[in-house]
Amino acid sequence: MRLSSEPNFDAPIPGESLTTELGGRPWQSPSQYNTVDEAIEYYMARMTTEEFMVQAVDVLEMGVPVAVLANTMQMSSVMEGVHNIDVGMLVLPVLMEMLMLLGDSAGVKYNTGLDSPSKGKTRESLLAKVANRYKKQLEDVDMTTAREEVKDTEEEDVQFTAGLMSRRN
Amino acid sequence: MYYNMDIENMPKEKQTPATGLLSKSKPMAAAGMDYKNPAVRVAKQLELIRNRRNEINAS
Repeated sequence: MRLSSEPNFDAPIPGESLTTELGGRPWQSPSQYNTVDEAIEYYMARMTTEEFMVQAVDVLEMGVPVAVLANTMQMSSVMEGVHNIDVGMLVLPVLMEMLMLLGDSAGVKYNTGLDSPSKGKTRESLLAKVANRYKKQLEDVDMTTAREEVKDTEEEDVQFTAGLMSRRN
Repeated sequence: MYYNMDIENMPKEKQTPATGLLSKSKPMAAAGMDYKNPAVRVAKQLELIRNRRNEINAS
């Protein structure tokens, strides 16, 4: 996470959430849909509209990860009091799968957002550690003896090539 | 959450032969799945959409 050096004055002040009347916020009152089935039905009805499909495909095409989009959808529904956060978490995989279905049927190459960006890459800390160890090893090596060793091996190589089937120079 | 939905390894439901309109209906839990569990219900929905996706990607 990048930390900003400038103060953020738009952030809520501590205790701001307690300044409104209890139940005044949508997420503080009973949610509209209480079960997973109801929530899925609600999302399916919305996600199968042409308007949503076109917009979703555009957003996926822009490179927004499916996981982020699905999470935003369920989070905004929680904030609107459509369902609670527990139902939202359970519904999340269905939303993701549905968005991927939309992407596949539109032939869009989308980012699922499930793969870790550092997957398959070597850790930089590990590289630095190995480099440091190698540097130390190099410092410990006596270069004069190393050169002699190299010379010896070169001589051995020359002797080795002088076999029966070797070409004459 | 998405990765935890291991829908490929879900127990498959057995297709029972139709034995008439008046036959006793089996409880859904008898098929090896606890349908009262919301995660199972989600998994079933997910399976349907996944199958449709696989069809699209195969063609």
